[in-house]
Amino acid sequence: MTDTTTPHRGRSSGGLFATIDFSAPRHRAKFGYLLLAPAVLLMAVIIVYPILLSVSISMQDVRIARIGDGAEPWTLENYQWLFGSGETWHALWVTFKLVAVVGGLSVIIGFATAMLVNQKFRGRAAARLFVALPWAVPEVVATVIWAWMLDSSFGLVNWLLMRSGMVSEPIAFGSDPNAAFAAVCFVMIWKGYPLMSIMLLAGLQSIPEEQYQAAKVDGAGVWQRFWYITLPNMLPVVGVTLVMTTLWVFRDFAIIHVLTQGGPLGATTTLSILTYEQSFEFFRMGQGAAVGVLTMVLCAVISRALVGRMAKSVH
Amino acid sequence: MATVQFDQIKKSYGAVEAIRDFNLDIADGEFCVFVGPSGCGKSTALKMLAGLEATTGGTISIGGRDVTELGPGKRDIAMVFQNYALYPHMSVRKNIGFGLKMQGMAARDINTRVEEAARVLELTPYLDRKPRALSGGQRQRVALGRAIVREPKAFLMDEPLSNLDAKLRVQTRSEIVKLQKRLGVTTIYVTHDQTEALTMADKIVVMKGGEIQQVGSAEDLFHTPNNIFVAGFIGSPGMNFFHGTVATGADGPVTRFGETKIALPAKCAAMAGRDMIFGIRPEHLRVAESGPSVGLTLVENLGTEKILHFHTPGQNMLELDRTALANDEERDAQSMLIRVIDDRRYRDGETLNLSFPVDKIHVFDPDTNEVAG
Amino acid sequence: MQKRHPLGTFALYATVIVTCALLLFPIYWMVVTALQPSSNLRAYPPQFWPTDPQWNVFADLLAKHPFMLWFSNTILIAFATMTISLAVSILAAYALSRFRLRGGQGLGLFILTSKMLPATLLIIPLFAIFRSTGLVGSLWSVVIAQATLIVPFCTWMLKGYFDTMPPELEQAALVDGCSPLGTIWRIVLPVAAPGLAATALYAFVVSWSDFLFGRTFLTTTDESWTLQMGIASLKGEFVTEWNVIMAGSIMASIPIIIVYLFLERFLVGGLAAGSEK
Repeated sequence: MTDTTTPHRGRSSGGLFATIDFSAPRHRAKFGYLLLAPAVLLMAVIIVYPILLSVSISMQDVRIARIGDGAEPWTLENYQWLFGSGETWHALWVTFKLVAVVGGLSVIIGFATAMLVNQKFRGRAAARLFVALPWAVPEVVATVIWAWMLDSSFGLVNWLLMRSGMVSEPIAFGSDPNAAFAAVCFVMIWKGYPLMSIMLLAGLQSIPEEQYQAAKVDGAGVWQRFWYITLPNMLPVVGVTLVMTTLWVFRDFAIIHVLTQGGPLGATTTLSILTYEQSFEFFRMGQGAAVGVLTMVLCAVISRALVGRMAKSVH
Repeated sequence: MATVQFDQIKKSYGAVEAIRDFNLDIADGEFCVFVGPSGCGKSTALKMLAGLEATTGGTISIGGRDVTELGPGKRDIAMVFQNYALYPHMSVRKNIGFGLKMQGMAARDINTRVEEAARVLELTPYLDRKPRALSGGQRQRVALGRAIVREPKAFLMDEPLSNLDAKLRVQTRSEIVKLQKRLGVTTIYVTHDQTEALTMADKIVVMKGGEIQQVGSAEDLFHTPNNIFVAGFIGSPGMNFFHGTVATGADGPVTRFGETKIALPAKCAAMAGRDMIFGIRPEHLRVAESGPSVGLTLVENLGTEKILHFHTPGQNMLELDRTALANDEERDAQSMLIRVIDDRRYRDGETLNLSFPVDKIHVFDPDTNEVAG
Repeated sequence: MQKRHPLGTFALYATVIVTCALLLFPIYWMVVTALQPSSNLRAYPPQFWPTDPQWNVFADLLAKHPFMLWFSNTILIAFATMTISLAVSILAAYALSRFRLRGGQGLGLFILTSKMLPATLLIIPLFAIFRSTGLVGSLWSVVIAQATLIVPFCTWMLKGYFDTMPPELEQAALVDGCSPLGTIWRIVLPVAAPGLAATALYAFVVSWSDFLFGRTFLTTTDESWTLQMGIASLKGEFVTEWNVIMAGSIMASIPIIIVYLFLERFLVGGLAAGSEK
């Protein structure tokens, strides 16, 4: 580099970096690094270091993790427990079931609502606003509303089901494993479909109108237009939204914790709930961290599909 | 007002050399145009002059002062961008005055200067509008106003007309030239459009592949091009090229075009027996009673003028890499063009005889692509 | 455009109205429940319209629980998180968007990936760190923990926005004699205002809705709780007073629903730009 040999015309009032003129063509890149520095430092301290720490905790037999007081010897016990116990496999199974149900149903609702508010009609702006409104409701609030609607004694849903004759006695959403799982699904779908709807709507709007006109000229009906134009154009967007929803279901904590706390009998214990339970209820942070590391690896694998797509558009 | 010098300027991105051996002197008050196909390095050269790109080697001086290591704001230049780069959140008044404000000028003086610039550019009624409420031509004038109000040593313009429609472009072209002559500020102007270069410039710099091909006035470039690239790039349509062996005839050197001999300039006598590339401009080819006969493949009627296309005879066809020719999209390598202005009707398929005025024939060395003799 | 058959128009409006009504019913039910007298909550059939709205339920809520404290804690956390995250991400996003820096691409990928980290994993090491530094129970612990998720997201979203702005704007400002930092302050930030608004709102909404970090780091006394923790705790009691919970829920969601209604356009545009790419 020629930096040291070039004379700088610094301004006297500039403080620490007064000697370098960052507008000079040769020093412009340094300015970039300087802008990046706070974010890099912050992320090193609050993301990179904690991740390394959690991997280290997952390999120690600790109940309540601390840093600084003489690290425990490293051991693979937590991972033996992780792969040996039925709890992990059960949580994995619950997580995948939840991903399938929530992902599938919210993409259907999201797609349907996006198609609906993509029609031309008066008041469309308002309809778009309302259709995605549940996105703005905090998860805890959404959960308590549904908890009340699904209440086994006085809940609205049970009243409707009994009234319509679909069930003869109230469903115990709190104590029946299948019903509790369904309850979690209701809340997650209600919270999850709006983002799908928003993103799918953006996708629908980016389909060129000419394609539809050309198809009309070729005599394609409504269904054919949907099948041969809308769907193929939307597949990439649907893919991205599905991956994002999957990641969200994998990582979500608040809804299940507030609604069922993972119960009954672990019917709604996902990997996230298991991580928390082990770490902060049973105080086995080593085991909790091991579950967390497993979740992280799975999320990384799933997000690769997404990141690969995004990375291509980085440059 | 000042001279501008590029001395041995280099620019490379890793191993890729974008600009090599760039040496250029621009005189005080001169209107200098960098012209060339896209990717030729003309914009990079301008950005290095502006201080927006770092040089890899060499020095740039403005008014005799070495500015190579100075930031754009310290070079005392003003720049007009292709997309105008008007600050969208500021009124026209603030846009024009921004540079003066950055210099620390008092608000009252800024206002006087801004209003004066606005008067010159007929922008006074729009001073308090935001750029998005202006038409394309008005935005362009605001960009000019932002440049002239600073009274800089040099104007840098990067394709400032390419976002205007054809009619406005012609009109603005002459306005910029008039403004530049009146202010007398050294101007460096980048364009890919040779018409702009020919009509506006005192000095044209033709570039290709990061290298200067030729520097000169419009006449120089048109009548005495240095090489095949310049010959093909300047003029519209560009020069015709054909291949031939120099032979010695009764009245001096000749070559065969198709089956017919045509006379060559006297300097070709020294090249007897060699294969050369010959060039002749479409407007210099004449339709005649005798001479090589060609069949027209296409007649383009442009109103006053007509462009006649015919196939270059097989043995005269260039095998030259097409990139050596200017990327003249108006024809392919196997055709030659005639530009005529007369009342005769031409038809596709018609056979014509041509004459090649001997003083209009350019001769190039096929090994170097440079002009020969 | 083709004219639609009147019957088709009717069917379209009917579908839109029924769909919105179904999807938004839980929000309506929250409001109705909050205003019912407690005795009506066990009524059979349920009452769909509050004939006798009980406004004093809000007063009850404030009297029985430190609700205003939770509210101010939540606001403090949300503002602190938003401000810190935005300050850091604006600079980083600008650098990533405008400079070709060594390692810039790697950093971009890292930011993308860290958006997808499971928060339940991060809280374990963060808990250890906060315990050692005495931050457990302090609102700062939640602010820092939220920054782990929000900084990457904001950086990515803003980079997407900066990428859409022509770099010539800043070049023009540099030529005009503006300093590089001045260029960001005078040109980039004002021009990027809509993108900044969307990003700030996103940060605010995410931070406001947090439950996990608060639940983990602010357990000491209910005076340091956030709104979401408070509402979750109301549900846990033996006799659940649903009207009080719903009153709390209304107050906890009104700020962000208002934000959403006003700024949905920006949010939707920003989200679509930030996540689709």
